[in-house]
Amino acid sequence: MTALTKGLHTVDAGLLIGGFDDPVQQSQQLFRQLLTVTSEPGRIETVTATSQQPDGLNVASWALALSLFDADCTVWLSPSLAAQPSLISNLMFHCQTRLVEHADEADFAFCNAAELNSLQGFSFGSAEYPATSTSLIVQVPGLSGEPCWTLSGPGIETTRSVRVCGLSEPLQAELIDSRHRFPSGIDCFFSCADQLMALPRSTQITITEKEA
Amino acid sequence: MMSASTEQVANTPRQQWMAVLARADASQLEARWQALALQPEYQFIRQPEIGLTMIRGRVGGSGSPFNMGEMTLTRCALRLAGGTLGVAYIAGRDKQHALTAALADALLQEATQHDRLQAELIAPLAAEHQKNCVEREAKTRATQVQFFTMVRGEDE
Repeated sequence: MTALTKGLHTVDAGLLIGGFDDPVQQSQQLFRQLLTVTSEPGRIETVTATSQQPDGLNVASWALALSLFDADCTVWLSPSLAAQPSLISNLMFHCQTRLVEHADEADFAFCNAAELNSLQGFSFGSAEYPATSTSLIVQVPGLSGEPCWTLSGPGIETTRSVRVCGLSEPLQAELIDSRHRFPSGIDCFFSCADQLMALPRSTQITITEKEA
Repeated sequence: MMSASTEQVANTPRQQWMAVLARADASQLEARWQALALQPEYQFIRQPEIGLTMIRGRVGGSGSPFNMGEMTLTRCALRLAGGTLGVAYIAGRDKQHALTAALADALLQEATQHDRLQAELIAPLAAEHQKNCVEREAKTRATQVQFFTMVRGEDE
């Protein structure tokens, strides 16, 4: 996509789809759900569906984009998502976001689990400004409460079990290792169809069962 | 005059009718729209929504840009059953005005309705707007005060 590398994105009117039916209520509801999943890492929430999604994004990812993004934030798309003109047009029209070429410049990054092999390239924030890190939204093939990972840390009373499908082993190891860099770090959201889960940088991960 | 310079910017036919729809008096637009008795099927891309926008100007018309102030704006985007996209941006807080303007914009792009809407909606609204401008200009002109200095003859 040469347009993307040059930063010259255009909105193709023919590809636009409808946003939220009730923007005020729905974006606030979703914001509340995002607060819930972020404050209780590993908890899975089901979001209310929009009638349509742009190609490449699932319901939960698109709802997150509609509620969180505005003209002040920068977004990076993984190569397969950046090749979707419908996604680019709708992100620019509905969210007015600035799409960036380099992942480390992005406030938010969308990727599919299969394309994500490393956290390198994303911004971890600095010790002075840890909030400037990239927030990752990873679209995964499955999310459940099966005991695959054991999570602990702020927002979890003892431990919580969760299974995030489709993440490569090096990535899982890197996620666990990146906890040493706190307060710098990357906050992740995992989305699957209309389900959403968060894994903030403060959550400790123990692998209890390797994915088959 | 302000409107004269902005009209020069509206150079494509679509820009021209969008400008007429946006500047039209809301009640007149509604009355003329109802008289057309069109009931197009449509789906919202962006529900009519009210927001603020920053008005920017240039020093002396061509110098460096500065923020003049914010104004309220209502915008709307919708798609007709046939796929045509209609868009409206209007000053103020009238959602119905934005919706009607977006619908008219979409239908004006369709060959089947274009001529009728141009003749029965856009042309009268443009004429009305022009008339209001001329009236307002005349009223303003009547209150014009000329400042000049009398020669007091001190130099003689």
